[in-house]
Amino acid sequence: MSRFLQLHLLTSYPPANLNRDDLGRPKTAMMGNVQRLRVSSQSLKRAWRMSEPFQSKMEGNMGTRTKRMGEDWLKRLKDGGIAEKKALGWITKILSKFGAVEKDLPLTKQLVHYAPEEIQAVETLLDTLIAENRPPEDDELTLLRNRLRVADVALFGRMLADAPSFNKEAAAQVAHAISVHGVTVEDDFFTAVDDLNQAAEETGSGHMGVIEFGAGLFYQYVCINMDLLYKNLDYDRQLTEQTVTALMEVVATVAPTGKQNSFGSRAYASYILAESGTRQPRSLSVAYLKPVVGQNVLDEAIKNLNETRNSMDRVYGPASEKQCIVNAAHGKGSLQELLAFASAAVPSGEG
Amino acid sequence: MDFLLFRLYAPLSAWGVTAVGENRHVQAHPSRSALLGLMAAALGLTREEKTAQQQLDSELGFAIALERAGTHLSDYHTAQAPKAKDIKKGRPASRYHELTAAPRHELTTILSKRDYRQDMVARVAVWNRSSQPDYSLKRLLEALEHPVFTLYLGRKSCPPSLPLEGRVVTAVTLREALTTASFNNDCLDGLALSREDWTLYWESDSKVTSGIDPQQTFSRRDQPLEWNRRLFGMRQEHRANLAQGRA
Repeated sequence: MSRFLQLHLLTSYPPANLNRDDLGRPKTAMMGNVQRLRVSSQSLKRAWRMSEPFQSKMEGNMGTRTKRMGEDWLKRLKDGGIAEKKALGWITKILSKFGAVEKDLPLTKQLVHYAPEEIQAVETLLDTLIAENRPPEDDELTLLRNRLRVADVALFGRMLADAPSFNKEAAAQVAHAISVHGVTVEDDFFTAVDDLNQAAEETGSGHMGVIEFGAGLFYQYVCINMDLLYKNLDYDRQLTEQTVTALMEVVATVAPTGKQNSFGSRAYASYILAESGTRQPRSLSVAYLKPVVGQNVLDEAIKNLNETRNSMDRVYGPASEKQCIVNAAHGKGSLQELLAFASAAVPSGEG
Repeated sequence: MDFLLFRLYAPLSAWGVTAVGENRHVQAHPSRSALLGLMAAALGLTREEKTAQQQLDSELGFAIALERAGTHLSDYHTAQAPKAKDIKKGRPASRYHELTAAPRHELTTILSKRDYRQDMVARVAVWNRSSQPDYSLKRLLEALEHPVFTLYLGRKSCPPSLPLEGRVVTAVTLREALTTASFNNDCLDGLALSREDWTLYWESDSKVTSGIDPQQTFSRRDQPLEWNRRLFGMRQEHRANLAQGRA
């Protein structure tokens, strides 16, 4: 049994081309026999993990900022009976994973931010090196690097066919975002005028083209396996909280970057329903199997989402123990409440 | 005989077939490997737990009623990546590091075509091949109800969009097990097909009477051989249309 944090979001994008296929058209899918706009799971995840808020949230404020960490480590090796020159070589190799290293000195050129667990990991590695009297190997060095790596890989997983020991099962499941209403992809015929072309006889455009686009209110579903996330982060409660809240924030506010300069279609989620519980998770996409029609798409979509959840709970029994609703369309709830809700879903204790 | 019965529906599902390169094809009905994976996920077995995975594999038989095959979707998928030689130099710590370590123009793009089925609906019957199983139907049912790992329909981005509504049923034949029970499919109104149009898929097992003659028997490469290497062997699967297959 695991605790699952499920997020159902409604996010409205004005005309945009967020996620394109091989012909440059917005991606689509058929649902309930009606064509919908689609933003792929992969596209969403990339936008989130590469986004500035996610990066900065995960950098964290804890730990030590120094150029001189190598001095401690060098001493540890020497105390362990490793000759100075050999030890310095090993330390340089380790330090180079954190930043540029001064020549022949155990110092980094810049201040490096070390998280406590990184220091711990290096010290463990040093002890191994002393015991086995050998230089560090490349794979060992990779595992040292920082909190960001831990959070990123813990959430979205990693699979390396040639190095299974690096594999990590993703704790976050992200569905393709699908518009709640039917959509016809439209095309924008455009021309670009040559600025320097002033000749009276040559009045045509310098370039013609077509961009296809669509506007949609998207239903988005994310399911986070909190126990797995906690495990992937080595049972560090504080780091798990930091990771899950960083994810909440970007899921609610970061848009895919596709064609943003042409469409400026950045959007925040209008409605978020979060659920926490141990029962078998399910998406609520059936709320939109019949496409929403009419002029009040957002309110209808919110209504359908809640009606579907309630009727499913009636039929199958409650799917979750706790819920949190942020309704930005009507100014109810807040992102802060959602973050607190997510933090409360972090497990405690070992395994 | 007892069967564990449950229903699978999602707007997108992806039951993969052999895929070694850029094209990731799928079939409409679940593969044995995917169903074993679904059970293992519910139970919390990791790919590394080879003995347990083999045990699970040896104990379970599957049959499927494909209520609606759904329609085909081909997703054009790009992924940015550093060149192989840059990865070998030292494994980048995270996706962010991987993409920012080298200058942007040195990144390459990996293309793939990932297929999906849209609006597939299927029901699955599971039975125990042995009489003293470690993984009893009751245990599987409890695991599905409170899974350890997230469940999905073939690909992780395909979460179930209705509860699986699992239950243990008693039936004489596979056909009876698959076709008698009803699920809360009201919300799938527009999608539901009449029972005559269902297609049944099953594997032979001396313990089970199918209750329907196969119209076709084919080989499918979905018998797990090695879990962490994702190595699969061939398996015989029978198929019959419910309206045409004689009882």
